[in-house]
Amino acid sequence: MRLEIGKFPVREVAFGDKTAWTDGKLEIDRAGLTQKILEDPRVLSADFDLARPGDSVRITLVRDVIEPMVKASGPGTVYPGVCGRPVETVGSGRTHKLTGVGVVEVSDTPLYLGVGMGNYTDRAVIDMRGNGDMSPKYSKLINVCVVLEIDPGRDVLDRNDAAHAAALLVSDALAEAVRDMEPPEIDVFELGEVDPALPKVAYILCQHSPEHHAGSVRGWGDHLYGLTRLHPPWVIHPNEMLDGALTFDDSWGFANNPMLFELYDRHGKDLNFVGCVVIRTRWSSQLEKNVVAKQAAKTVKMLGAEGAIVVGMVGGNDFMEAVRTAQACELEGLDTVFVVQEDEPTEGGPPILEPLPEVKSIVSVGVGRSEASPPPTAPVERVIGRREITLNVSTGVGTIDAQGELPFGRSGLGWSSLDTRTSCFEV
Amino acid sequence: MISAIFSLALTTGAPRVVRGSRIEYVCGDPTLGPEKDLAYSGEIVGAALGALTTEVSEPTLFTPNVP
Repeated sequence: MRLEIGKFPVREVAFGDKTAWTDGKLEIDRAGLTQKILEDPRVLSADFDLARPGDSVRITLVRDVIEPMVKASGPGTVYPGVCGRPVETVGSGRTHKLTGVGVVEVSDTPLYLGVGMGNYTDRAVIDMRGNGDMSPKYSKLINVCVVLEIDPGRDVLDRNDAAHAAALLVSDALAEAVRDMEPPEIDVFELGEVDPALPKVAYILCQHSPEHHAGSVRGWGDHLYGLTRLHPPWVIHPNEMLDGALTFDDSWGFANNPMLFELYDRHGKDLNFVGCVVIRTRWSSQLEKNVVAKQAAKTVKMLGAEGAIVVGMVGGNDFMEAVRTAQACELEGLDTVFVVQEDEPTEGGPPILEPLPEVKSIVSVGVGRSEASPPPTAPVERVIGRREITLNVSTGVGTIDAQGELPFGRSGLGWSSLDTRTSCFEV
Repeated sequence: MISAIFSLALTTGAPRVVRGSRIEYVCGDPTLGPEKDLAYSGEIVGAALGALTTEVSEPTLFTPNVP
């Protein structure tokens, strides 16, 4: 599977009367795109706004950041499966993308109804000065915000589908402008034959499934080819992910996963990258969690792996499958690294929920969503989205002014920090 | 402690752990139907009471019968 990614850098964005990319300048036909979005009767209103790196601006109600890309050749459609898009296998041929720019989906549509993290976007913030939960990487993009009001009378899944489809419509339209152009830069991704003596390494991603909160196999959450439900360990070629096979609230991040780039870079040099396995977290019994962990380890072993990197950027319930997978890999004889965020230091427990003796090698990527340690974030001049941020999205308790000082700053480091080579990631 | 994810309760050092059913429905199983669900709940509670009256020296798992 060979994928070429043609990159069209964006240094300047402006609204105009057509959508076009010219030598680093992206012009966006705001009126035309708004009209197209509003053809969907589920969308009541759509507005565009721009936020540039360093601006004294916060974007709230961030549901996703999407990197505009399009298949210039080869099978399938980028971001496959989601919102009814085709599900042909992606990851080969040529993809063209606009780099340095994100399409930000802004809407107060909850992910699902009921207790839990369904209103989690009520706290999702990008502060263009670089502080705040999602900010370290997204504050470095020129963000094209699509602010959407979705008909609240519709079913929650329908509302999610409408909001995301509108944002994808914009992303598709922007990328379409460069589909038939010759890219200034092309990266090639192919897992070619390498020295068989090099150690074989697999990458295991632990992705949340919303199935049990949503009470539906169609719940809105991490989409893999559009599927969100609990499923057995699934072998994925890294190129499929580069084409957006895995999407959700961080689609840009999944398609620019620094772990993939690093493993690709070292393929044939000091390791042999054999591929990825996606497992689902939030199975609801011990037996299910154990079987997923053991089957994940078996699967990477069948891929020939001698080493595994298990990334579980999740805590609590979701942590169980991740740490048990790292343990199962060790028990299968694989050298395993577990990459994970630590729990809040204020709660008195161990830094990770269940320390297991077999999991000997752990890379901490910081403390997620800590309200205790980072410095507060100073007020901003302007807010895109809603003027209110919910502090505790599980309970809906506590709201603060989105323009004022926030009691939390940069969250830990986050997995985006793993890459130190591209300017879009925090060092 | 009655826990669906009993391995975690054991590794974190809870002295008496009763094996529960599922995270979203710990004390029973509605898919068994009302009568068996109630019987299963009784087994779990009974195991918990039995655990309370049992001396333990380390984290110990108590497993109720599933009807």
